[in-house]
Amino acid sequence: MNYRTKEKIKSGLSYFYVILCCTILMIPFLVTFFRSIIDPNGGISLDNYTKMAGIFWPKLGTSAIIAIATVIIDVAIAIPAAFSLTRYQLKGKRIIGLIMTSVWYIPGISYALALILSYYLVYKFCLNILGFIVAYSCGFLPIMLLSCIVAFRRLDPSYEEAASCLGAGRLRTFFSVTLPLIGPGVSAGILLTFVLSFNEFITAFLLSAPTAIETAPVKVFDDIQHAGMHGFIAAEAAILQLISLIACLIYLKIVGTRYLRGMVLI
Amino acid sequence: MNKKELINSIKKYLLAFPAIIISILFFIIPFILLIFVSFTEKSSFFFTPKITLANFYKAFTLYRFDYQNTLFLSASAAFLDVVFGYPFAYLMTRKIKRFSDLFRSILLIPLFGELYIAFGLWYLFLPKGPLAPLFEKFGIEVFKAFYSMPSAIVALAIYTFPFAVLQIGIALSEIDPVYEEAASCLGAGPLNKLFKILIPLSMPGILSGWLMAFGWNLGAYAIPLLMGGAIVGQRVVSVQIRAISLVMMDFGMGAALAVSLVFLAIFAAALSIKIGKGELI
Repeated sequence: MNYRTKEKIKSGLSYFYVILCCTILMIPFLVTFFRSIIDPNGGISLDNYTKMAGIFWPKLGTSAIIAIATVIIDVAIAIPAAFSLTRYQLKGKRIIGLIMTSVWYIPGISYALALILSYYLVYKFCLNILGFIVAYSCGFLPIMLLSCIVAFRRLDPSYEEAASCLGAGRLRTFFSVTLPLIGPGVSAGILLTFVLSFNEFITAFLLSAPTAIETAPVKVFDDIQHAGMHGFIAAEAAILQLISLIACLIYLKIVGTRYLRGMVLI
Repeated sequence: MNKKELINSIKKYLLAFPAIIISILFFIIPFILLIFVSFTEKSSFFFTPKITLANFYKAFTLYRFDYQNTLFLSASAAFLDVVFGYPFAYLMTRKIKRFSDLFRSILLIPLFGELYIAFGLWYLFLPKGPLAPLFEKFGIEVFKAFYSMPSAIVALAIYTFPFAVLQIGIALSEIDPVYEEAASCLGAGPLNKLFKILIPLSMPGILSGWLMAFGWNLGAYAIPLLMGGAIVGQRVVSVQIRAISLVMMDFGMGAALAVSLVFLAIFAAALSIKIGKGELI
């Protein structure tokens, strides 16, 4: 066996291993999708999708509204925060960073319990859809902040200086120079925040009792507990994952994986 | 002049203000509240708070079995992650050039949520599911395979695989391939290279990957509940927290369990960031 065939076998084996891992990661989704399109007789049909339609679509709408509102709030508060954290020498920068980002690492169930307690006792006005939006925008702020900070670090400040030398005001500089340049980096945060808050389960599950609002993932879980394994539940789960997957695919098609690396991907 | 400087320095903070306010209002204050509640008896916090330490005492005596379950589940799932994630991260950073973006983006799928992973695997392991003939062939009873610890561990490992791979991959991409080349020039075999060069150099990455995956596994709710069966599914800290606080209405006990879980997770994450030289901000 000469050197080249050896190398070929090696690279073939490495591709085999990586593809195997990727397949295992995709198995839950593939199985759910497969279950949703078979009917009891073994054929392929879309019956399950028509069965679940009526009750599920409004909940999907609620989820989408909450996710989009979360993204808007997070963008609005994270960009200025990231700007001041990267451009200025602030005192207590570490503490500020810690306050804003440590929520990412605490278990979802504990955060949800703390939120519920505070909603019962302090923020009584939050016991409606606002509660979900606020909870998610605080819970997923770290990921948006991180992507904004990475984007600002990659941006050379000399562009802004050039713009202000040429007579542009602060706002004009921001909107026509800074924002287009950091856009792709921020878009990674937007994608992640959207996907995570669209699929967020445990916070929504604990909040669903006092607020009487059920988001789509909670509906899936409730159906699992009440109906067990049923085709229409698979259809619901498949729809939710397909929406997230399509959002990811559109993003990856336009921007690529460049800005997600180091945050969630290697 | 002095006044102007003050105004200027306040202006700098002003931009970060909305984010700080939201974080304080909806993360710090609820968390402080949670700690307070954990020191009160049952639901007495809502009426006349009775201060007690019994909750924490109970958390480590009465609920020790739940902690053992959770820690064992999280630790072994994180171990699986590292074992399978290390070669994956190595190949992704060194060998794989074509289609690498495709493989990378597949790592996003487990981020969609543990619920879908639990649901998909649940169907896979059902007595009449697609894997049942395979199990029968190997003489494994499906019920035993399904309602038990191993299936929950596998599901958790799938859930946290990207986090472990990320930490290991960052560490591996910082190691110069020159070291490996030098080792093989000096006559080291592949095994020697792996154990004498690669693993020692990437040890921080391995540890931080394990800790990160461990911290994430601690809070999993749907996977242990659906995949763990009767014993593991009910006697896990995250499931107990909900059952105790929102079904049995014993907020003090639930809060105590939640607080101790948070400190475990934060400790794991902080250690992971410190070891992996990653930065919080």
